Amino acid sequence: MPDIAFATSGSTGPPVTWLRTEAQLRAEAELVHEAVLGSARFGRIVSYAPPGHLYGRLYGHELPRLRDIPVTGLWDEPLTVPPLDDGAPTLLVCLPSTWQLLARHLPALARHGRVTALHSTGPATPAAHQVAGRLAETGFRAHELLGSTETGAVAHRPIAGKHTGGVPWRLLPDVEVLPGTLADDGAAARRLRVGSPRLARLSGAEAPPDDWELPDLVAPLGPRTFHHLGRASRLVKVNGVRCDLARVEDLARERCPGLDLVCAPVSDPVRGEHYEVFYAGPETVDPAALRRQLGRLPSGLPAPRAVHRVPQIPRGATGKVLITELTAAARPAEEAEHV
Amino acid sequence: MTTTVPTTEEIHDRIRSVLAARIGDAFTDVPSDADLQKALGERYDSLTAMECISAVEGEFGIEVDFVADDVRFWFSSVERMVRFTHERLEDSAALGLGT
Repeated sequence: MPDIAFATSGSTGPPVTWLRTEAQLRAEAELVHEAVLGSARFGRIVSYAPPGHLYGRLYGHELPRLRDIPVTGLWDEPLTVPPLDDGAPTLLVCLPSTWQLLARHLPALARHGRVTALHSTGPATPAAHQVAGRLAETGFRAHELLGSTETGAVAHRPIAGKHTGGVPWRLLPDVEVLPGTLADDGAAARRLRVGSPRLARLSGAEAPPDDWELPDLVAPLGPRTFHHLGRASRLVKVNGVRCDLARVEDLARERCPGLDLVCAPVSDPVRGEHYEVFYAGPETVDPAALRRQLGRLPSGLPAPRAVHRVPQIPRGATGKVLITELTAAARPAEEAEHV
Repeated sequence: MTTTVPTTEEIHDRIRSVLAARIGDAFTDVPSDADLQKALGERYDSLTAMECISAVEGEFGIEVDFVADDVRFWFSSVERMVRFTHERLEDSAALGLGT
């Protein structure tokens, strides 16, 4: 059986293909089913995650195949309500955007009482915490996976109601943590470096790497638990689609030379994360024109949520962009400049 | 309790304003009878539609039922959104629920 290919947008360059063996896919689906989902017997899986990506493949294809569970694939229909009428124990495979849909159907989820939600590809949204909190006293369960196309799932935690604070992440049983690179700011945070039998093989390489460093910054708690503090890289995940902001900036500068242009990450209630473009430049370049230029980025890179013209890009003494000041400066003009 | 239902013209203007705030200037020249997905392409994908539905709900104090209401139909153009919203407001007024 040939290895299965999964493409990423690449950390700094063109798309990269990562290969996984069938055995790795099976192992991951089994592992998460046991360690995270408690080997629950599901009568149905409803997946909102596209099967061309690792997460969707694992829980919308591999797990159903291994456990002979019927699948309802709704990855092309994000507004379609999951079927809950028959009362079958159901696993919902969620993207960040799925939670807005679930938040509209709390009574049905509460009545059902046998729904488990699995979340990945980006941070849990405020709607995810709202749903988990509102259904805390019912049979509804929700779990969050942290990982990447390169590593597969690395850690998990329950999704808690919004008032319960940060729940630590717990490593999956076959994952080993290695010393990662220290964060730039000198704090105790390190990048999450892991080894596991489920690391993917880069297309063209003979074998998977011994270990892999994720862009995620973590602070260890116990030997196998940690807090997630953010990301060291300029990666955002727009409803699970990886987008390297440095790459978008390079592409935008190529298309619009002469602009002082910056991409800033923003939280998005539907998509989890997104980004907006801020630029300073000639009056002849209006935000709508730049927005059209960025509307067709290569390699499936998502277009910006908004484009703002600002008088200047604020920078500190070292030249670092002051993101908070930048986004604050743009807000008063949002009505006019939000395109 | 007597509740005054906004005119369709008022609803139309408020919906256009709500959508413009979310979609941006690309929406300005889109006719109200145009299919938004065809007119705007990826700018009006399913997730943007979801955002617009939430915004219209908030603007008029109505609720859209994703099971009972055919959201793909009613939220495919401004004109349909106006009809849907007007009917929903009239229903609420008839039941004395207010808006």
